[in-house]
Amino acid sequence: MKLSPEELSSQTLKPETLEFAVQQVKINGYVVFDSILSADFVKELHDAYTEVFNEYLKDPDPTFNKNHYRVFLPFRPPFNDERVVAHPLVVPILDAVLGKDFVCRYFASNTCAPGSEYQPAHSDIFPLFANHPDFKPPAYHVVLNVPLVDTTEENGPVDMWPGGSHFNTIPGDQIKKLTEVMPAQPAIMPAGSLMIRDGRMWHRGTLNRSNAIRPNIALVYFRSWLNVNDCIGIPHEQFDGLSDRAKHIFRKEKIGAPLDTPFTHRARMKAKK
Amino acid sequence: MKLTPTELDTQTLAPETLTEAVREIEVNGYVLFEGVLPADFVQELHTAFMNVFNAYIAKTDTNRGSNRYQMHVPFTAPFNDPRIITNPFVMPLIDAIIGKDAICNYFASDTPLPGSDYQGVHSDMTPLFPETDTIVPPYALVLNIPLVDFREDNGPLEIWPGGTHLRTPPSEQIQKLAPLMAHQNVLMPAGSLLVRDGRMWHRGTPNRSDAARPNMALIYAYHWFGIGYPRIGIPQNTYDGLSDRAKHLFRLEDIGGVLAHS
Repeated sequence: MKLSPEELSSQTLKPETLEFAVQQVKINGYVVFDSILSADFVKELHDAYTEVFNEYLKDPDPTFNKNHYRVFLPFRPPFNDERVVAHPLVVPILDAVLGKDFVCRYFASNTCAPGSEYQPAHSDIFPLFANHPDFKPPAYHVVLNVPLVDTTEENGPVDMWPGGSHFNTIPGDQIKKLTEVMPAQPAIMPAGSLMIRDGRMWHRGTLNRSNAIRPNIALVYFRSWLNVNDCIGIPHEQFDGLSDRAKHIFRKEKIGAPLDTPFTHRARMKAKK
Repeated sequence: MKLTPTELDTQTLAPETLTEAVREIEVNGYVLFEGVLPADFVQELHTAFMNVFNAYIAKTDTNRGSNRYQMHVPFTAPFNDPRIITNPFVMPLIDAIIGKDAICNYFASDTPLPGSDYQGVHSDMTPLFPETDTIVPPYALVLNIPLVDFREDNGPLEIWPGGTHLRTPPSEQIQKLAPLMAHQNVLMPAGSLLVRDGRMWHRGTPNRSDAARPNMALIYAYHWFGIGYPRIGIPQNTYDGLSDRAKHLFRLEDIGGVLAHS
């Protein structure tokens, strides 16, 4: 959705916009605010990201699907800018959807490169109560996506199944069968948009037929009790510079640890296994 | 409930007992198997517990109101005996309610001393969706094992069964509602197994006897439920010696870590 000039200049949602956006997340599974970040800032992010990504490509993880990469981001400028980690247009939505105690526990990116193939449709998070399929919990895992380029029909927009799939976190083979008869919608949006989606909503990466990568920053905000066997390494000098709200949002991470790179993050996850 | 001699001999719940016990937890908030652990084992636990406990309180301020202590229990013998951590009467309840993928993420105790007072009525669990009125299935079960008889005079646990596990309003509302609602003291012999939905409202009561009233407390939960306590310290060789089920239950804890109070 497009925000009004007043909302953009004040960086504050009107109450009715907030309510409508929250309703979209709760009912439709997602909301997009088009072109929120300034072109300058998006360029800065894109340049910095390209460096991280090229470094990562020297030793990438095996990909589950061809030319789709998940790259953890270092918690440093420009990536940890408040406009990314605690955007004033995003936080009120998260407050309403997850409760004010929410945390961010995932700081990464998803990038499809030219030649990427379709991913199987999937949820990003497991069901809480797989043994109670009729119990439909409210949101507990919400993803913020920030595309660093315009996503178009050509460059691998994420296909989404909005409208209710977030209430049905079912096994992959069942999702596969159902998505054959359920319409998908490509997430086409300008660079610097903010997409807030329930992590359960079914989606998949698609074909990048362009000649450039399509990077997409991905943060995940959790209810504070949601246990993950992972954390973000945040040096003191980065944590200390955050706003009080951002400090609260990242309070459960490894504060005082060395700056995580995609490689140190991978090494830590391997050591845990 | 009392288990039958056959159930006690075979250490197996009859199918109808299991069904009934699961229903009691899901609907009433708890089930009690009375006096299940053998007396000599309870005695061994009690002696070992009081050693750890006395050393603990000598250097620790009271932490659950006056003369009342929560204490993490070291993951070592006799406390980590299979009869405690993977009790054959308890595991089928965990399987039925949480599933085989459950974790145990809390290994501790609650002990009121003489001179303790009433606690505020409370739930033990963070509500999952506090800003909504969603009724949530059970996600964390507490296993309590009293190491002495719980009597009227020594500070028994007081519970609000019948449905309070389905709603966790803010504390001030619980305090206001609780006096109007049915409640009961859990009187039970040492070595009983009390399995309760951790959300069921309850409180500690004054211990007017002349001895401590220790109660072990373990929490079994879905793997995704973080309770906010530090992980249980389990030395590697201890972990390696556990049964496969116990390994699976404690897989997310601090394996290779140090024992509590060491």
